[in-house]
Amino acid sequence: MGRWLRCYFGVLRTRLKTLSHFRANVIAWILYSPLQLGIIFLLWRIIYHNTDRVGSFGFQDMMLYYLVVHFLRRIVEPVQTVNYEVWTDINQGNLDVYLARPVSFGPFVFFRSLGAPLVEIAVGLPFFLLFSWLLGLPIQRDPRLLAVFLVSVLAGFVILFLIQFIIGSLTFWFERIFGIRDMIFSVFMLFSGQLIPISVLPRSLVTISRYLPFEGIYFVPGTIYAQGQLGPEVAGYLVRQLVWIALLWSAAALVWTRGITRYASQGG
Amino acid sequence: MWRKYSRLLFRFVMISFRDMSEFRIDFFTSILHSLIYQAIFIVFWKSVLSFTAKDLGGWSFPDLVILTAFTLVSNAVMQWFAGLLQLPRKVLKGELDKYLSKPLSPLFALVAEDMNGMASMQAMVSAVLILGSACLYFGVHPTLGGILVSLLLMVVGCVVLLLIQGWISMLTFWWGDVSRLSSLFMLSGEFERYPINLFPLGVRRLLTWVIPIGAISTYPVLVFLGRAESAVRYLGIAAVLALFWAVVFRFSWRKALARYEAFGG
Amino acid sequence: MQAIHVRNLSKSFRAPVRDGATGILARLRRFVVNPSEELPAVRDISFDVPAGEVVGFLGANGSGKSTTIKMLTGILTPSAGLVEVLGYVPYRERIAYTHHIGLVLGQKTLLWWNIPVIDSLRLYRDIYGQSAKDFEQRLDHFADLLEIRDILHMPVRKLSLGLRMRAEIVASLLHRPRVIFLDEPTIGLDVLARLKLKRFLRRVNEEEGVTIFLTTHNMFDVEELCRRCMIIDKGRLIYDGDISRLKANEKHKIVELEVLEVADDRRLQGALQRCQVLEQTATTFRLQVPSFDAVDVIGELLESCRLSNLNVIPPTLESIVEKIFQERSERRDHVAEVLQTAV
Repeated sequence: MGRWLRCYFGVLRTRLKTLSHFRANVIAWILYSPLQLGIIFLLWRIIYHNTDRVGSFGFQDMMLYYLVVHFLRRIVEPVQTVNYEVWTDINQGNLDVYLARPVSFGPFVFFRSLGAPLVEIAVGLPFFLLFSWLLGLPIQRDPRLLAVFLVSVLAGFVILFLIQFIIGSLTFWFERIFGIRDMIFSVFMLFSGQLIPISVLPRSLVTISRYLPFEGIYFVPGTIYAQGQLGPEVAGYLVRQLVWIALLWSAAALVWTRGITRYASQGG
Repeated sequence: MWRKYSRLLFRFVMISFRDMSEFRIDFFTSILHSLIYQAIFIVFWKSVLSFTAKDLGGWSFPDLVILTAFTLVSNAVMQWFAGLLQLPRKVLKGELDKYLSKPLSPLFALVAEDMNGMASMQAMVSAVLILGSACLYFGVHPTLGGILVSLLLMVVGCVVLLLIQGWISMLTFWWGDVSRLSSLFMLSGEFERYPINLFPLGVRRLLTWVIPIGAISTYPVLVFLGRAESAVRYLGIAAVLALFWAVVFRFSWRKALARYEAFGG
Repeated sequence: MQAIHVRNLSKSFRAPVRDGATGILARLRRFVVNPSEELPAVRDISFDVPAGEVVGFLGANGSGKSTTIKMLTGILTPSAGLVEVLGYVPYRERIAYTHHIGLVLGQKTLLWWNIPVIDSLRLYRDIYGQSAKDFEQRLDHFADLLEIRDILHMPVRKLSLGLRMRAEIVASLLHRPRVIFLDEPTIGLDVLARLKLKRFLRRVNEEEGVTIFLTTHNMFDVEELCRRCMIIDKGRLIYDGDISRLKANEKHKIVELEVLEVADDRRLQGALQRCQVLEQTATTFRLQVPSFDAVDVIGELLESCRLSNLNVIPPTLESIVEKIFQERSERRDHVAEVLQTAV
C-alpha cells in the first residue's frame, strides 16, 4: 500500500513540477475540465427539456456517458501523437537504432506510449469520482461490470494505437501524411462516439459504424459504464473490438514489414 | 502615415496569399476537410432533433445547420488576426526587436505578418457552400439587408473577442506563460455551436455582455433568418463592448510595450 | 555634434530568483511569494562616437554588449543615464529616429523567415518610405557588391548563414542610414567570409560616411577595420582607445606550425626552449612565445625546419582582458606602494 501511495505522489509531484509561476494560469488549468463538462451538461439539460430519452439514454445515462468519454479522452489522447512520432522516427532515420537491436519496433512504441496514459489515470481517477459525485451521478460498483468496462477500455486503447501506428507507417510511402490524417480524424470524431453515442445516430450511420473500428475506442466503454448493466449487445461490442484488434494488428505488421524493406533498400 | 500603413497592409495581404499557386491541391483538400468537419456537427443536430419532435426550443434543423455554417464565417474573420495569438510566443522569443528598431508599429506588424489569407478564403468558401446549399434545400430566403447586418454584427463581435484574446495574450509581458488562460478563453468559444438563447439566463447574460460569443453566432444567425427581436440592440451591445475593449487594449498595449523595452523580451 | 553620445548609461534586469531549491514546500513558497532580484547588465558606461567613425565594441558573451546595442537602437530603455544618437533619444523618439539607422543582429534574423528575400526588402522599403527608384538603385548596387542577386527570390529559411548575413546587411543599408549597428555579425562565419565582410564595411564607411558600431568577441573582426575600440566586461567599460595600443599590450603570441622536415635539430630545440610548448604532435607544434622575442624565435624556426604551415594567432579577447586587469592591479599595487612610501 505504501509503495502505491509513494508512486502516486511521485506522479503528482511530476505534475506539480509543471506548475507555472502565474497563479491565474494555474487556476485556468484547473478550470478547463469543469468548463468543458459544464458546457456539455448545460447543452444536454436543454435537450432533455424537450424529450425524455435520447435513444436508450436518459439524462443521467447521457451525462455519465460524456463524463466517461471525457476522462477516456484524457487518458487515451496522448496516443494521438504516436502517428507523428512514428513519422518523425522514419523521416529522421531513427529507425537504424531499432533495426540493429533485437527489439520489435511496434511493441516498443506501444510500451513507450503507455507512460502518459498511466499518469492520466492516476491523476484523473479522483477527479472522475469527484465529478460523478458533484453531478449526482451513480458510481458503478458491480465488479463484473467494471471488469468488462476495463477490458473494453484497454481494447479501445489498443485499437487507437494500432490505427495511429498504421497511419504513421504510411510515411514509408507518403512523405506528408497530414492531409489524409486530418480527414480521418474528423470522421473519427463522429464514429468513435466522442461527439455523441453511436446508438443515437441515424440508422444508416449506425450501420456504417459497425464496419469501422472507431466505435470501440470511446463508444463501447462509454456505453458499458453509462448504461450500468451488461445487456445483450455488449457481447457483440466486445467481440467486434477483438476482431478489429486482430485485423489492425495484421495490417500494422504487414504495413510495417513492407515498409521496413523499402526503408532499408532506400538507405533510410 | 495612413498611406504608408495602407501600402504595407496591401503588401502583407498579397504575401498572405502567395502560396495559392503552389498549393492548389491543398486548397481544395482543406475545403473538403472543412465540409466534412461541419457535416459531422450537422449529423449531431439531426440525431438530437430526431428525438425532440423535430425542434429544439424554437430552433429547427435548418436553423441549426445555418448556425453551424456561421462558425466558419467567424473563423474566416479570425484568420486575419492569427498574429494576436502568436503574441505570447513572439514576446518570449524577443521577436519584437525587429520592429522596435524600425519606424513601424510593432502591433501592426505582428498582426499583419501572420494573416492567414488562404485559410480565411477556404473557410469563407466552405461557409458559402454550406449556407448556399442550406438555403436552397430548406427554402430559406434571407434578405440582403439581413445578410449584411448579420455580417456586420458578426464582424463587430469578432473584433470584441479578438481584443479580449489579444489583451489576455498581452498578459504574457507580465506573467510569462498565459497559455492555459488563453485556452480557457478559447474553450468558451465552444458555445458558438449552440443557440445561446436556450441557455439559462445567467449564462445568456455572460455570453452577451462579458464574453460575447452570442454576437458571433446566435444573434447574427437570428438576424440572418429574419427572426431577431432587435438587430439594433445586438449591434449596440457589441459596439459598446468593442469600444470598451479597444480602450483597455490600447492602454494595456502601451504598458506592455514599455515593459518589453524594460526587459528585452 | 557626436553621432553617438552616451553618459552614465546603466541597465538592470529583474529576474525571478532561482535558488535551485527543490521539494514541494520550496516550490509552493516560490509560487506564492514569487521573489525576484536585480541583475545589472550594463553599469555606468560613457563614450562618444563622432560621425563617420568605425568603432569596435568588444566583449565576451554576457558582458553587456548586446544590451548596450539594444539601448542604442531603441529596443531597450535604460535604467539610468543618457543616450543620444544623431541628436535623438532612441527609446523616446523611436519612429523618427529609426529612419536613420540600420541594425544587424548576428544571432537573430530581422528579415521575415518564410518569404523571399526580395519581399522582405520591399517591405523594408515601404517601412522606411523610400522611393522605388532609389530602392532599385541601391539594391542593384549592393546585390552585386555582396553577391546576393541569385538568392533574392529564395525565402530566408533556405539560406545558409553566410548568405543570410549578407542579405541582412544589404537590408540594413538600403535606406541610407547614417549609423549602422552590427551585433556579432560574423558569428558562425568562416575566416574568408569574415574578411570579405570587413572589407565591405570599410568600403561602405569610406564611400558613404556611415558611422559603424560593431560588436564582437573576436579580435580578428576589428583588426584593420576599426581604429578605435572599446572593451566591455561584466557591464563596465574597461578600455576605450586605439586598437594598436591594445595589440601592443599582448604579452604573448601564439604560434602554430606544421613541420615537414627538421634541418637543424639543435637550432630547433634552442628556439623551442625560448617558448612554452602548449601542444605537440608528431608534426605540429603550438607554442606560446613572449611578444618581444617572437620575431626572433620565428626566424629560428624558419631556419631550422622546412615548414608546411606557420600561423601566428592574433591575441584573443580573453587574454587581452586578462592583461588589462593584470595591468590595473599592478598599477594599483604600484600606487599603493608609492602612497605607502610617501607616507
